[in-house]
Amino acid sequence: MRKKPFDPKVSRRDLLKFGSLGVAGLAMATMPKWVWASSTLLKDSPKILIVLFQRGAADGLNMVSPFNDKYYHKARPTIALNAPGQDKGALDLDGQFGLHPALSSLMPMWKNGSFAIVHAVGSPDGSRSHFEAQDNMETGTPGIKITTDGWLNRTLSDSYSKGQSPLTAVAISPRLPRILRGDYPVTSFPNLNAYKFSGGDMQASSFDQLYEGSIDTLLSGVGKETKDSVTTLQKIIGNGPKNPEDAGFPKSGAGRSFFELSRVIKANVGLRIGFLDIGGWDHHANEGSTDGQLNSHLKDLGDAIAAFYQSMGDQAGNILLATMTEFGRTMQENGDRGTDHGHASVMMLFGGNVKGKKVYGQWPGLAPEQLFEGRDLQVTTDFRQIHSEILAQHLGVTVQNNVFPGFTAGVPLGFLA
Amino acid sequence: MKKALVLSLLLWIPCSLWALPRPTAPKLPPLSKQQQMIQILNRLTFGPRLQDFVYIQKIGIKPFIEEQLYPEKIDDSQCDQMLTQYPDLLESSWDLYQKYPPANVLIVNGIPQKNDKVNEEQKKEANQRVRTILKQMDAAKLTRVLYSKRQLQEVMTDFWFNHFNVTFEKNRIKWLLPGYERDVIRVNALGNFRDLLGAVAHSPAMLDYLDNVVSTVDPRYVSSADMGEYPMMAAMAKTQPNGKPRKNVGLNENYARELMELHTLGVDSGYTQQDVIEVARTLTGWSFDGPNILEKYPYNANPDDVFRFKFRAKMHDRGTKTILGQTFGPDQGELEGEAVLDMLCKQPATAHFIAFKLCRRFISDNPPETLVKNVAATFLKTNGDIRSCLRTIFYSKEFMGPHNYRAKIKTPLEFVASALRVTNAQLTQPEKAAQALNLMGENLYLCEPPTGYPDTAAAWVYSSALLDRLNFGLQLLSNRPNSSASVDLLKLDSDLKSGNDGRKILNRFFKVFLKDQVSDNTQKVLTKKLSDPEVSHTLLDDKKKSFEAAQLGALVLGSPDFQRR
Repeated sequence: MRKKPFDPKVSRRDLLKFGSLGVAGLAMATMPKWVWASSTLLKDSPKILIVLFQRGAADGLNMVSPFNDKYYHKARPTIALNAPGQDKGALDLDGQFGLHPALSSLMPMWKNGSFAIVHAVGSPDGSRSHFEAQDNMETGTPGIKITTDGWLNRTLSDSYSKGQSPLTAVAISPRLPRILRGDYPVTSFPNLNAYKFSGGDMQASSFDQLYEGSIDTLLSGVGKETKDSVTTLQKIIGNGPKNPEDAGFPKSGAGRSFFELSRVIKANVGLRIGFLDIGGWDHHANEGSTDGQLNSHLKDLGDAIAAFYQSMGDQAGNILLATMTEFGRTMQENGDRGTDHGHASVMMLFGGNVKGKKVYGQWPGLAPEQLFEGRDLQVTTDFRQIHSEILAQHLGVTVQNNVFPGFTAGVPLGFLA
Repeated sequence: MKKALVLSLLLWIPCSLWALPRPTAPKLPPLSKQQQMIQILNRLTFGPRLQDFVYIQKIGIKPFIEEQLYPEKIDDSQCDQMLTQYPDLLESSWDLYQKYPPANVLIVNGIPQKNDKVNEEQKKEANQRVRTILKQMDAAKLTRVLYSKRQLQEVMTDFWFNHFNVTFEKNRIKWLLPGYERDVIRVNALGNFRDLLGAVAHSPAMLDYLDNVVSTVDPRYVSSADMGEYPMMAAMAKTQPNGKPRKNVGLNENYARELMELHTLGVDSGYTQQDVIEVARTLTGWSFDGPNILEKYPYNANPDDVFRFKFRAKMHDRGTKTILGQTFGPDQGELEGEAVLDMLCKQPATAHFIAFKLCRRFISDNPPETLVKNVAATFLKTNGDIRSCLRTIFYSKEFMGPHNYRAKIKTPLEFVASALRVTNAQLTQPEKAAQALNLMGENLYLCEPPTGYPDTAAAWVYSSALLDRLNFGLQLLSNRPNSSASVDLLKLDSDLKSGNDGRKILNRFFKVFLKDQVSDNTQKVLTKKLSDPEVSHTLLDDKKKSFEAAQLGALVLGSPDFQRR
């Protein structure tokens, strides 16, 4: 059951409080210039990209199940989803695929066309190692290990000027994810309530000077405008809700992450790229169908996404959310109502100008001869293809060769209007 | 000396963004005696305390290393005395289970019985109760890194726990965790790698964490005729009228894969998906009994068998397996798994992978390949003697090489521990330090993926993480009520007195916290702060300035210079 739905009145009030008017209302002298820069940008409704990583390899075949497929049911005698209409059946999407019922709170978005799916997505590299496959997807150079920066950071370096805002890119994560590492200054925090200086102004300004001016190659630059970004954010969020539940988000890890992200967006401090880390998808045992670990994880995720878009209100059309995971799982269930490491999985796309209500991508089939290495769902869409389309069409940036070096985008899947 | 540091920092561009070729390192002067001691204390301990310098000066560098390599010979009774506050750590897993049973279990006369009439409130309470174990684990770990004289043993316990990571949250590990760290990791931390690997492979914690406990012979990999040899499995797999099997049987690849990828050979070392399956087949039946055996077999089951390794022959795949070209089985039972562990330990890839990780911990994020090879050679020659590998590292020229001096960025745990140690703090609220570590991204005993926490700078260096560190230092030195520890600055150094001359205080902090290894920028920035009214209080009557020592000290702990070890 969902927590109380988001109150649109709160949303409007918050917008006033957090939005451009709120910023303008604050004493001008205390505002760093990038806040002004970003608040004026609001007029042209900036596009925001949110990438969500389901760490641990989420089971695409049960998130979006080919419920008619006889091979699917044969390979998963105890964990296959029932067909739509049956007891705890999948939610029919297009007669071929069904959404896991734990994601039911996303169905309104499916029906109104702001939720699309791409199936059989993955990396051309066949690694079944979690960290290696995550690295492949975050560096954007599958199979090449010497890349140390992430493709989101390279996108930022190419297309966003550094002075604009220290919060142009933010990860809601306790560590700095590889996808955002690189030359472009980014930051990461699990909880905005703790993103502040506990000492006085002196402590804050020292921090910037100590780190900005450091010649230590690893540490220099991290303090750039941190003081300003911290004080501005704290001022703006100061009066808003402090906990996910108070803002209509579910009480879960995913709920907390989306809540923190919503606060940064509403503070209107120039966020363009957000990244969310949602772990716990490695279900070797007790994955289950609608009764196991996958069910409860998906429930938390779906409810959080729905609450997020509800809280974004009118801005939802400017915010595109794309999920990804390092690989899918074996088609065959193992002995423990779980699945082992596989190959292709599924991507979900929300908001922005997504042409929803459609499952994109070429379905490779599940007959024995159609499987990757005789056991897993084939990859028919390279994850870089999808992101290339998003970067170009949603963010409107020119995708240069160094974002995905060595990759040439193919015919667009056309999931964006 | 300062110049040398600045140079070494400048030139230390390890895995700098984009794969720039490493510039040929110009010659730096060799480390001074003082720097050598700093290097030793930074790497073999969780950070130098003042008294450690006095000690290492007295006995010398080599005797210090040798002493740390034999922790059992070091009297650690003071720390042991402190650890008596955490009695759960000495208990068996079964005793802990009885003490903190799950909500739906009642222990009646030592026999667990299902109790399905529980409400949400009771479930929550039970969950809270069992977290006592975690709190004690956290507190004990912090106590050890702060006070134990067996510092290298704790460094290595932390290293191997992270290498063979398990998490408190999964399945039954909450009750297994103290035993895992105590009887599997710590006792083998400086011993033999094969012993350590074997102890891990037999530990209920790892068997549960990577699901081997439920992995059985799999009809997919056994011909249907042979399946008749497994009557129990066949009965379990039998399809019921509803089309579903009575009970699932089959292989679980989780442990087999991580055994090769994370614990021994390393990723991309040549094993295939088929090798993963074959290793999993040899390890079928490696399992353990849970508390339910006492209820199920009241006459035969012994409480000592609860949470103990058990080889289940009936679940074991008896066929022939081929792994990395070598044959195992058929019909060798538990010995097959042992043979696989033996084989894995002898692989050059394993030697190299372990050597690399050790060098990354003790030398730099990108350790020199020549040293890694030397350590790998020691590993193979000594059949995995960890102490010998460490000796190869500690006595190498690379270890004292000027380019590797303070080349590592501290992880959150290393930062918190070194701050507590350098201030001679008294740990009063360890749970606050654990919370701070959670915020910084290193939640103790709660790392979910099997990779463990990263040991390289890139994951830990960004503004909010460093801001957390600055805040931690301020909280610590100003003795706020929510601080994890209390610090007596005056006892540390009588010149660290608020109200003293600012420049003098700052210089003492540089001396005490950084052994005067201060970069020009930090020196410049903090000297300028001496005229900041928040640090200096101008007294109207005598126009003399009084200084806030805690504020200044916190900035030193939060400076880039203190983030290196």
